[in-house]
Amino acid sequence: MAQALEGIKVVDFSWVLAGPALTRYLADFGAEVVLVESSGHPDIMRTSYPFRDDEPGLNRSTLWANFHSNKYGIALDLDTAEGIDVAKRLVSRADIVVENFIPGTMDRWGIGYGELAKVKPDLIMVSISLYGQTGPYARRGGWGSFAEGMSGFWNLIGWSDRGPSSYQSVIGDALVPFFGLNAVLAALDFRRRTGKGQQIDLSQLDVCSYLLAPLLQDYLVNGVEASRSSNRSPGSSPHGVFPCAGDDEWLAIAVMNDDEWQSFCAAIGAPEWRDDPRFRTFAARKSNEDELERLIDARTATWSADRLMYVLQKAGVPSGALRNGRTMNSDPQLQHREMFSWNEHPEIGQVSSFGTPFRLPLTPPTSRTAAPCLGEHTEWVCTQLLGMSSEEFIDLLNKGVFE
Amino acid sequence: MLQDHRALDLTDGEGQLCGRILGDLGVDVIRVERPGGDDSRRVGPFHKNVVHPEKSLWWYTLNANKRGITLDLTKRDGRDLFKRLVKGADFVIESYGIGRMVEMGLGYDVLREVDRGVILTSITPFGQTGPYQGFKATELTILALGGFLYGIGDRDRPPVKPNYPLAKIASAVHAVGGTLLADQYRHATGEGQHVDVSSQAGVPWFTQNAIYWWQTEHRLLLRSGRAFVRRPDLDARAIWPCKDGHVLFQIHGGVVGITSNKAMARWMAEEGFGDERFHGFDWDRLDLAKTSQEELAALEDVVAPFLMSKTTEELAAGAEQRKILLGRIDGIRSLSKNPQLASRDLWTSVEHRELGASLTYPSYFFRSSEVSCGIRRRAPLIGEHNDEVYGEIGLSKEEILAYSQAGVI
Repeated sequence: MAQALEGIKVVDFSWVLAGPALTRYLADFGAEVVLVESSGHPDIMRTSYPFRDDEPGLNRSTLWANFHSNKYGIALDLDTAEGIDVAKRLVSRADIVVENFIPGTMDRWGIGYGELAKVKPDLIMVSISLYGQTGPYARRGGWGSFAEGMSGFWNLIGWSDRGPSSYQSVIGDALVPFFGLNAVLAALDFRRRTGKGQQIDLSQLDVCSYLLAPLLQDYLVNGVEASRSSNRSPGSSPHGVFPCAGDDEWLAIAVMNDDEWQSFCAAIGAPEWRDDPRFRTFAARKSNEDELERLIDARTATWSADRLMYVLQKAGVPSGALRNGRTMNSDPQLQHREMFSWNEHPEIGQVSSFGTPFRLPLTPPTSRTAAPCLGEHTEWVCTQLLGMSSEEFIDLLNKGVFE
Repeated sequence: MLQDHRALDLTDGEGQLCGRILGDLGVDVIRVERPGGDDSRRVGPFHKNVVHPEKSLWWYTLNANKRGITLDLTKRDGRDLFKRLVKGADFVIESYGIGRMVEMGLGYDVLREVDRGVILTSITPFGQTGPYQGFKATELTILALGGFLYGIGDRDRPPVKPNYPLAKIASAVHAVGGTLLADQYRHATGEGQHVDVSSQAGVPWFTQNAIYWWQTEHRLLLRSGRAFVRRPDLDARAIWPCKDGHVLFQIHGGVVGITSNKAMARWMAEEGFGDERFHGFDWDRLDLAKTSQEELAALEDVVAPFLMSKTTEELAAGAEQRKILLGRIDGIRSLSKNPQLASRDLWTSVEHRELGASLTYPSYFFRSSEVSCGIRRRAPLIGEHNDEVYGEIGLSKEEILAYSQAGVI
């Protein structure tokens, strides 16, 4: 099968989440991605849970493995002149460089955009950061959550009568790579037409703020500041998450109009609610929403979430069972989309990689190899991709450059 | 950057962000609405709270950098005109339900006959095929089936949603990537394809740690109030109340985390917070792989009153000075005053002559050393570019008028 990014070469200096996810997509669609790491300062995700057999080890994190399948891995000590030289040789044959260190780090090594553009004038370099390459916060360290918090995203999550809620996930770190993909693909097109490369300065704070713009406008123009809204919705009732039979099983239900309300009452076995003056109209349901939700809670609690979802869907009522870490693996629709592909990893056996949200029938993503062990392809990359002689390779190896 | 590309945008709701991003990247995006204007114009909030199809704030944001025409695709003449537009276009993006384009006689096969290079991108809740094909969906049910909702909220209540259409917005961002990947292939071969975007399939990208905990250890990550689940049996407090709001802080492991913990403990000592036991704690010994919930909670209980004694501003400033890993949780209002965003000129003022006002927009989602991706035009009024766009495909003024009187345009 053809590959959308056939022939595109990427040097990947990235770590943690936002950079690695971007290069994963590039690799999935056929780009050759060489991941540059160091054993002195391994990616903190390599040392993050969960580990195969609950046994920590640099090559044992399955979450790390997910973000690095289809890549080649080379270990390189960028604190040595020879290491920098090898890095530049890799870049000289590449189209794209991706990095997400604290701004200034690549410059300190002498491999900032200015230096790399000397080696490869039409290079596309993607620099991802929390706050951007410029500005007073540029060199602040921190986690992705800090940009989400500063942008106002976090203030929108949770119950309106309680403080912001945590979520066992990421928002900015999951969105930024896709914005990066969009920018880098546009940059490839720009290069095709003009012959010019560029540096792409992509920040989580910018991206989160970009997405929240209508909410900011609402505040600036109307004086309304969006905040947490619990599970209700101004245009829909009932609209919420209801308990189902079993332990911690839930069903999301969103009744969008009176027709759906009629169908909902019949399907859930409470036809008497249809003409109950407390619930008959949208306005009535809104003013008696507490009571309505209590009654629904009592009904849904006797159903399995999946069973009730299918019954309501058959009646034309929007509903969805809450999937979790376990049931995302068995969701029939996600299975139909082939969301997981499995590869054999030399140290931890079968590991899965998570698929892309879009399907391209002529150029589907491919799953070729599991994530590399640290430095797994060092010799192959140096001798095969860079054409280094065995003598030179051994010499550099003895000098500790590949650590 | 994508000059020389044209997109016909038939999306609605959050799907409109796909065309907006393409527009930011330089594509000539033509938003095709039904005569009288699309329903997406009826989504609030509205400018000055006046409910009016030309005053929706979401409409403004999601349709900036597009031109706008009206066209009735349910009429034969409308479909013929649409096909003429497809001839000069690279992308058609749509978010109708499954099969609607085919019903209108504008399925991928038909568009491909018009132009074999055309890329049709369809955004739907679950994708074009599969067991949920006939399902009705809303933002809430997509977040549920995508696995995001389960992890948010308190254990004494049901899971709770964000007050933001995250799943559908993310899906529009994904759709751009799918479209541009197909475009790479098209430049190599001349072949277009039908890009099939699933909103549900985009959601688990936000919550992969839950998937991998299950696949690896058969453990579930439960929602945990204001804590972050470090391990299935260890909640680490992540959101802390302070004097005037909330801040983000965690007692961390690892080299970086332990340095931050120590700096926090020093700051607390300077200000007389914490007991002997807390200050005698050997931070270098902290290993969150082994720490028990009780041990961690005992440390957190000592930190809490210190954070409570200060404002967000004081904590953020002190943390910055002392290299403590602490973040702020700001409200939406702070965006317009954020010094970092100001120094990067994120916000720009765009004139809306019809409102007699200027509105604040983000001028880019990334900065480039070569190209500016700013706002070139505000969102179109209903049919604002009919004359211009239909003129470009060779319609005379008289023909445009005739189509207009026939209710096609």
